[in-house]
Amino acid sequence: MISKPLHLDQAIASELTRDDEAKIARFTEYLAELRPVLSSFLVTQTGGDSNAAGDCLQEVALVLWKKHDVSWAFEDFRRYAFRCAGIEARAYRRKCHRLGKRIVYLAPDVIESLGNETLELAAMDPLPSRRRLDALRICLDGLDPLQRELLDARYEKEGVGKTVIDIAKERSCKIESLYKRLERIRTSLQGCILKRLKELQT
Amino acid sequence: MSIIPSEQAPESGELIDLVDRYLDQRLDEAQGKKLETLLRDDPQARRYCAERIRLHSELHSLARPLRIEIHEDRNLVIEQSGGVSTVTARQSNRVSVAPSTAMVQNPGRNRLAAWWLLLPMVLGLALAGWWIHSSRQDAARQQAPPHLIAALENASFEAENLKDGEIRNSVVGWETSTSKRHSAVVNPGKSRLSGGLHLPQTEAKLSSPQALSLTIDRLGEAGWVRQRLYGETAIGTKRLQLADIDGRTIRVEMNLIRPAVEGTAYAENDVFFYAGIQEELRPGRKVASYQINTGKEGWAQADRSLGLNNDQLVKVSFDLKVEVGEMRGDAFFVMGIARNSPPGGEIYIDDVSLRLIDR
Repeated sequence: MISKPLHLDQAIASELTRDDEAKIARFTEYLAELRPVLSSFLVTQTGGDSNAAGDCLQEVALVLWKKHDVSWAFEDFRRYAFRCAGIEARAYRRKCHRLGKRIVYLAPDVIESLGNETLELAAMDPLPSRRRLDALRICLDGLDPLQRELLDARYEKEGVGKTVIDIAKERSCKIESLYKRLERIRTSLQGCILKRLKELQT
Repeated sequence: MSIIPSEQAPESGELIDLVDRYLDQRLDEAQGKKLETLLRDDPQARRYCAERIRLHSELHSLARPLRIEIHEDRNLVIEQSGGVSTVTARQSNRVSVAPSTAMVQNPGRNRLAAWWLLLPMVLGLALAGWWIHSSRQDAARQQAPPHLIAALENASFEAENLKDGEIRNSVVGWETSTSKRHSAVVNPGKSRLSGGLHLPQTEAKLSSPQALSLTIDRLGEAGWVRQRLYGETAIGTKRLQLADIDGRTIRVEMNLIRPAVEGTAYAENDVFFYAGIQEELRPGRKVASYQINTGKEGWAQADRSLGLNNDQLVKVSFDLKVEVGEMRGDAFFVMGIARNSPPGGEIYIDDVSLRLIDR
């Protein structure tokens, strides 16, 4: 709550104030930078379920928006974000347990160590996350159309376009073999990203 | 220091298979145990898994770019004393971050102000205060992903969970607004203070302790009620935006009964009923509607004619197909008596069930 003197004839701003704009700019900048690692962390905490991780991320962003202050440095924002993410993920697991929803549970110590590993991985990475995304975009452009179609089917928004099952029917092949192909595509993308980043370094 | 965060170590086919199964949600219990052992015992395996998860998240990020939606309500209270005023602002926010349907092109700072579309500010100076509704980003104009919403939930109804994706409501109140003179919760079967049942024939057929009564008077003022819609997500409820349910279908089920308004000139009681999904703010346009002629008289706009007799309880089911178009804002479920109904009519409604279908 803010309280300040105001003369009645003072116009009440109908546009965003500079403070508002600064707050939004800071928030979006920090969140965009954190999003990949925050998502990765949430994936480890939600049994590998990207959709659940996305829902948790939504809640984390809500709390961050409410609580963050323009005076926060990125490190403050990051620390707070991961604390929220941990809480949200625990709430999600409790809810799944309550509803009897099956999730792939790894033991708590493994979940914790895997979560820490994702954080370490991000901490070791001096590059802004957008650089990796840029490299990934270039690598995706290098895929052949069939590979791209399969990847789109797996990662595009649900309910839009073909699914992996649709492609299996279309190509008269087993779903299992498509997932194997996906595995190979991911492996090649990992290699490709590293190669692109090395090129950037040189 | 290398800018390459980590070199890729050659991994066993088994580990890759298990990690990908984990990420594709295809891991069974035995495979889960195996992965668990590998991750616990082998730091290299943990590192590989973390890298694979990072790639997975990045692929998701590209396919479903970040969408941030901020709704902000401000309540300004201005108090005047000795020529100086004090303004107190209460502010509440709702932010949602979700993938948008289109790729985001790294919006720059100078676009931020344009993202926020200030909603009409309503300033009403009274002793109490000023209301301002404001803001949201241009990005918020994009459709929200329907996959976030698994079910509808209406907190202020008396709800009984039946099964996943379905909530059954007995009407006991409403959250937002109603035409109070013509809408009421009645208690079927309960004696009135003056003794005797209000409408015994009708009430004998309503098993619920509360039902919604809507009436229309001879001036054409008709009862209606509307409620804010919530959606159930994996981790809790979310206030629904029209965009959240754009293109979706909501199946409505409810019990209707028209009492015999005996002893009045309106005993025929053929009322026209409507239900729909409505935008929050004025002009309160509907993004989906369904119109029912309960009686024998014709109603050109009706989607269905029931041809009911008075005191005939009927369960109706219909679909509301949501097409939002340019409309934005919070989503409300509304139902009421159409103003062109014959005057003097009354209708009871209960066991309202809303279900989101065609995911």
